[in-house]
Amino acid sequence: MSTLSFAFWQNEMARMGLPEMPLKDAQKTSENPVFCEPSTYHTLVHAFLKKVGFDHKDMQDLWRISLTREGIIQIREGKLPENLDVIFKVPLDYGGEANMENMLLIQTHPFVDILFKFMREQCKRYHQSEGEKSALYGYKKPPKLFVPDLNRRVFVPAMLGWTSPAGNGATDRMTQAGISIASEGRDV
Amino acid sequence: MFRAKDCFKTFDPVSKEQLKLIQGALKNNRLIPLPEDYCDFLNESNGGICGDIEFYGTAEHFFKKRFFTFPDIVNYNKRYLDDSFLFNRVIIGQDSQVFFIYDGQKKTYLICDRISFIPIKAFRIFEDLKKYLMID
Repeated sequence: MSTLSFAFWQNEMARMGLPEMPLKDAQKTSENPVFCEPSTYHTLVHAFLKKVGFDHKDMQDLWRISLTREGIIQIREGKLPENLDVIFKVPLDYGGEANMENMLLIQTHPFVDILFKFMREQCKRYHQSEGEKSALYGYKKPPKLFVPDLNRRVFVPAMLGWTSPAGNGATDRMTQAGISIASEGRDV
Repeated sequence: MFRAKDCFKTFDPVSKEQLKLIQGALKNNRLIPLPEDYCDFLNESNGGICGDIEFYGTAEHFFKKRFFTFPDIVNYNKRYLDDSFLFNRVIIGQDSQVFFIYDGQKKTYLICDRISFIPIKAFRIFEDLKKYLMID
């Protein structure tokens, strides 16, 4: 099976701990990384969080990821609580745009780490397949990258069947406890 | 105008003994010891979080209400030891797009793409990096 095939990478995503994360491919549009400057990024995130904080469906998703009342208040003020990131679903150098439609609110540890590891692994394999041994200046980026294909604004792992690190198919007790407490509207 | 420094969460400062231990642990893991100006930052706060910006210190911090552990710098870097990019370098932090990496050979702070490790910007001192990220 080609290391660049969709099925292979879907399996890799499952192996890394996100078995039902839908994927799509994105074509490279820039050789150099495209980076959203901090001032622009903070302005976009501020507006995005305010939108999420006052949307009914997004609010239900925020409860599902065990966010406390204080965290929701922060989001409504346009601020990011700890362990939450707003990432670009499609990287900016793969055709993604720096706008709210391309943004996703997701827990930093472990899910953002997993997603970036997944994308980095694709670069690493491509880099090695091109005969490059050293990565002292970074990895060569493949012409096509598999990225998350989500149309929600908030990533909710339990709904996507996220498995515990042990791989036994069950969410861990802490996550379950957090989700059940949050859905009752109680603070932890 | 939003300024990241308005929401910078700090921790207790690092002790000299902890710093010495961590410098040894970094060397043992074939990573670069932390530079002096970053150690000065840790002397004020042993790590820091502001929104998506994270800087790692010598100790991990457990956030009970949020069910997550903010990692320490050694354990965080251990995840990337297979990547030859980290030769003579150490990751001191991250945000939602990039890594913040100290290059021990060139004595500079790098902002590197989180997917490909390709360097995007470089800064001579940690203060300049903080100013760029609007947390100074």
